[in-house]
Amino acid sequence: MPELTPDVERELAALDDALAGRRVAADLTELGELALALRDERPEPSPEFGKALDAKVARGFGEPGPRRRALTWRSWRPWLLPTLGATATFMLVAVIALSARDDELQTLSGGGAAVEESSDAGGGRASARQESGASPAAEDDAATFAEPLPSTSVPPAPGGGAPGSDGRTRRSVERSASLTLAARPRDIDTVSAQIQDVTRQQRGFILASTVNSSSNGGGGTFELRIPTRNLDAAMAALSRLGKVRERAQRSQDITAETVAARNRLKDARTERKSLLRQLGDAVTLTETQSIRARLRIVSLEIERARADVRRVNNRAAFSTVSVTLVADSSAAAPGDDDNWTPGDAANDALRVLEVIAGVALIALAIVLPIALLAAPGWLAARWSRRRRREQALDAV
Amino acid sequence: MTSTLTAEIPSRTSSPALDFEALYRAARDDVYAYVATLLRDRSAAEDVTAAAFERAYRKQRTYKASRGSERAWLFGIARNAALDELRRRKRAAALAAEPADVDATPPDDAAEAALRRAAVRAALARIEPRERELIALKFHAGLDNAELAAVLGVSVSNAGTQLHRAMTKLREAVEHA
Repeated sequence: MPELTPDVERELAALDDALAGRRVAADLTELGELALALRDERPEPSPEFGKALDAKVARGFGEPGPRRRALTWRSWRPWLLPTLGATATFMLVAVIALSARDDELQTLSGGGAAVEESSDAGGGRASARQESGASPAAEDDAATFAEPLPSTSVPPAPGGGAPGSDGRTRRSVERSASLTLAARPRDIDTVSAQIQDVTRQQRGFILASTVNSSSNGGGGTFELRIPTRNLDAAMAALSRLGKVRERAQRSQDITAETVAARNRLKDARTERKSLLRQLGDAVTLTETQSIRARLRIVSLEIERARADVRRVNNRAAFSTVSVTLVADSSAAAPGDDDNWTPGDAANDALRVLEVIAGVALIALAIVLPIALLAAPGWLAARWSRRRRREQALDAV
Repeated sequence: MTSTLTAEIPSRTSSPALDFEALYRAARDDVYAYVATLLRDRSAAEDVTAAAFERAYRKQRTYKASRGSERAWLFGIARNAALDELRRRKRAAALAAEPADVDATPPDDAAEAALRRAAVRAALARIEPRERELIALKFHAGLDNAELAAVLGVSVSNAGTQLHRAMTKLREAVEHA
């Protein structure tokens, strides 16, 4: 808007002078009189209206006052600090919980120690290390859940085609693992006992163990048989008992061996049934003796086949875990491998800041587009309302 | 003998909130005068004035001194209320304007003065509502040009120009009355 011209400014000043009771230039006397006449035309409210409005104001308009109004800066400022504190606490708890979960996952996956996993396909290359004698009861129990494949993922058989390429949809997998744990020399006995506890808790048993403990060092080795379905849980629990130095897992497909053993048993049983029928039909003594001799042989074959089936089932149902316990004076106490140091505190603080920054970034990513979309709408609505009001002056 | 009158001056920092009671006392009649001139309906002006003060009472915490004076803020609210009333009238097929209150003129006024007043009143009724609003804000509500600009949402020079234009129209209307 251009600046006011001197004449306009002079006339406006004359209006103000007239209203203020000051002298007005002679050539603007008429304008000054008009200003005073306009002021005299000012409508005055009736005394009744004035009294009624005074009473309304005194009552606060009979409605909840401004103290109960919508949130404004002044009204929610007292709550700001507690709210921020509660939010920060909540975020801290969430971060710690997430960190603990991450640590657990890390432990399950090896906790930074060397992790090796290999898989062999083809039952013909079976490992011979599982021929050791497990307890008979456990071996019999194993047969009951050896049939279904472990739910854990088995890597594709290298060179053997797809898992179903041999016509088998349910596969038997033998799994084994090894773990090297470090513990303080004075904790060797404690950790050894805890290894046994973990084995029991996971419904496994100790095949062999050797423990040496002394004030300067010591160690031990444990050969554990753990139900394959509990292998992951057992490895996680064992990993928490000390500092994991090394960890390895191995899985091997023994489906072919399992099928072969079952087929042998089935064939032998079929032959025995046939021989029993032949025995019933035999007429001569020679025939009878010959069939009986053959039956004895077949019965032995059935027994051997049964043993083979139990053995392969047991290999799939139980996993061998080799635990090596070594002494290390720098290792943490069992179950206390998280000594909170200033370095840890700094790391945690950094992690908290990272999470806060992440949350803020996500919130910004959500809020910003919404705000960008809403702002023009809000401005348009405001402009439209203002315009409609202004149009009311034109419509009178 | 000298005496000293002391009064407690409220601290701006400790009590930055708007003093609604004081504002009401100072501006009640001004708001009514502005609204009545704009609407040309005393009954509607009373309703709108009451509504404006009620809105101001409820919104007093939203007042920010950095955006203008308390009076400008209050007259902005009153203006919105008056314009809303005008819109309602438009929807209600435009009520006939209240006839000029001729009886309001004191009977003992000089004839010339009475004629002058009647001419001014007639001219006020004749000019455009926008121009009448400017005159109401200036001469009936007593706003200075800066407050007038704040109420209208324009610059001070723009407000001055508009006011000058309205006065020119009014003078012409008075001459033709």
